[in-house]
Amino acid sequence: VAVARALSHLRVARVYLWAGLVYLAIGGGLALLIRWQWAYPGKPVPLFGGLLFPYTQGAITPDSYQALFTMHGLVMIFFAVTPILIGALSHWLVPAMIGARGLAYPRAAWVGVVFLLAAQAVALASFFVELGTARSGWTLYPPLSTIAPGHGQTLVVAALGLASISTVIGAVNVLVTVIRRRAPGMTWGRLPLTVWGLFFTAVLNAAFTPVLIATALLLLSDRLLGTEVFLAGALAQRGGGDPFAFQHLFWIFGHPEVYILILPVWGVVSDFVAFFTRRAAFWYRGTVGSMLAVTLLAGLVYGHHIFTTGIAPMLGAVFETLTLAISIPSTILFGNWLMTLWQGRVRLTVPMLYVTGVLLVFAAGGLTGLYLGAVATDIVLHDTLFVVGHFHLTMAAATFLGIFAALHHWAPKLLGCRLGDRLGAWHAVLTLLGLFLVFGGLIVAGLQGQHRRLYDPFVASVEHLANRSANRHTSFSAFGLATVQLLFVLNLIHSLLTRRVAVENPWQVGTLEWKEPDLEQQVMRGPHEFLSGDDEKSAGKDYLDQGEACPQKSAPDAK
Amino acid sequence: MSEHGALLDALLVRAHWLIGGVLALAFLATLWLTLGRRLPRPRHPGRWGVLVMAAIVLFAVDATLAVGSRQALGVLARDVEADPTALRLEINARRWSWDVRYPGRDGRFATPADASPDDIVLTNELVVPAGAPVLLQIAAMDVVHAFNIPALRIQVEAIPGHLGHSWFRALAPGEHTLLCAQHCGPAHYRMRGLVRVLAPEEFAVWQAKQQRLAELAFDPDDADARWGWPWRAR
Repeated sequence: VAVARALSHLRVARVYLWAGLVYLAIGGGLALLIRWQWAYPGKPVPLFGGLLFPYTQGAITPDSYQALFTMHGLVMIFFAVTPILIGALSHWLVPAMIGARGLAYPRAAWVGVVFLLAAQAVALASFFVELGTARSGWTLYPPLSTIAPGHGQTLVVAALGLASISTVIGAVNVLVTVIRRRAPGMTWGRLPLTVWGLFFTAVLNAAFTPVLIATALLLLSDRLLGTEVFLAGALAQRGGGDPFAFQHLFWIFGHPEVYILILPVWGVVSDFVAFFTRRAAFWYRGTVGSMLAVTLLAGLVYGHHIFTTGIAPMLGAVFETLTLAISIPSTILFGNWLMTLWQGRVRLTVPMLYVTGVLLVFAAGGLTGLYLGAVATDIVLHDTLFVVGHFHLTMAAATFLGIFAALHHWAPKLLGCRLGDRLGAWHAVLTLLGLFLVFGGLIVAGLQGQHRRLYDPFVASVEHLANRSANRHTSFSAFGLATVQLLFVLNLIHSLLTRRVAVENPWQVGTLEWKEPDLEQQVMRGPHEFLSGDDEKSAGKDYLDQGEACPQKSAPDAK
Repeated sequence: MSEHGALLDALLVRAHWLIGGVLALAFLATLWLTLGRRLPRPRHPGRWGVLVMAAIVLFAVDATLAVGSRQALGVLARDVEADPTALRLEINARRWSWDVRYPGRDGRFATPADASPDDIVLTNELVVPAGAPVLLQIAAMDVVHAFNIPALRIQVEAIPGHLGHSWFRALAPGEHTLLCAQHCGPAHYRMRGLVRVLAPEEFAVWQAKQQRLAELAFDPDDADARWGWPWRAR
């Protein structure tokens, strides 16, 4: 029993969750330093400046600035959002929602945890070695990443490799669990859409994250063994290889990565819009099919990241067509959410508030992507803050709001206590506002021509490419957004300290994770079936449990 | 502005209207369906119809972007090698400056193997005539850079080991910023140059003067000055 308990998938999930939350705070802190620099270039950072940059009395130098934006991206993607959204949610929710006793490989799950914690520790250590951490940008393009001095860059690339191993282990575990461990009656058509989202994410992770591991190894070999796989030009001493090959390899992984991060959110949103309108999700098959279509397209569109490298015009046209094609399944997905909402009266619970936010930021993030999917408009916007604003709306804003929705919803199980609704509601509304101000500010700055990754965007030039006061406004919005996160921290701490007891099944939904695990579990129906009228009166509740025997009168077709 | 840039901008404006419109609709629909609980709803929503219409609208937006993209890029795909007024330039990007080489009277670029004594070489300055096609051959010496003149809507990555090609036709005289659009190290933000588009006759005067200066300054022993590559048509 002790072993079973120690191996419990819920514990695995909790470690991922807390490890991710800590690094979410670190990644956010790095973002604030970038924003400070854009508001007041070269001015000492208030409060912590002297501590962080002691040799310059708190001012950020061009060199440390590179480290800030490099590590902000890497920390957020690999050490914060991935552990929370994929590590925590899939390790616990997948087995719980499909009525499995646990993960297919409980011990492997702990190996995955160890790899993630090791990766996080190595990444953190990189800040403290001589010459500091990585500074090549999160995309790690060689030769810049090859010649970056010191051990920091090496440690960070190694940390990415370790984190990726953790991800692949988790992905295989999830795939096998979903395929082999579903409770009797839990057909593919009865899986909660959250499970579908996490499943497709696992498919992409199992397929594409190994590419990153291999690429990281090649880069390490260039740095440590003096091979020249990704070197050319004056730096190649022994013939060299091809830096452009790295761009292909990186984006073969890098583009699916954005779908890896958004698919779990799509799944959660698809379930929640059904839960909180008390209606079955509109066109379940269409939603699953759209997610499948995006999963299949995910690996075929990476070329839009290298439109400006002079790839053959024919290739550009093909990647452009495939990229734009993704908007069709995305539209169907989004349309299905709206149609689900249309069917019923929305209960504006805190998770539903967050989900409304996801819909808004995802609409903005998805549609701004069209500009970058077409080669012609990409030439104008490539490498400007428009790109940064676009991918933050999807990869940051949508994932954050999705994470908060999931945490608030499943806190009774995941954390063992209920989160406060009042603080939660304020946090949801103010966070959404902040996200739009900050990332909308990036979009506008990008349209004005402000480039990304500039230590001082206001260097004198013929054109007016960056607006000082607009940057300052966006920075202060970011500081506000960060401050608002204290509401969540406060809510979390307060709930944990008071052990605010959770009611059984607080949201009154039928998915299996709310029930005590039952080995005799027989699944009878889909994830969101609701009752109304006389059925509701006779049952004394308006939902049907997925494992519950049929009520006397057959449930109305909840279409 | 450049010839293809005008088309890109027109497409961008079209995209703003279309995408902005769709975004506004998505926002209104989301807010109405979640918050506007007391607003009247159509009794028979015809939900499938709405869904199909949304997909059609998105397809129309995609098609507009794709067609507009082809049109604008058609200009860049045009073969201007044979144009007698074309100006050929070689760009060498290195941390943190731009070297620009003009082939000079003999029309040849100096390469490590072959000194051409009349090449004009500028640093962080690009002088081109208005109205004539300017063909670019772009290389990087150390790390990846990106040759970007935002005002002329031209952006090409400079990758060590590769030669990038592109061309543009500036429509009117003026001064623009040349900048590096790919992170290349701490001083990336300062890797900038000045683009001067001159009226053709003004350019001819400038070029003749630079030509004389370049011939005077030619040093056969300066191997560093011969970083050019043989011209490669696309």
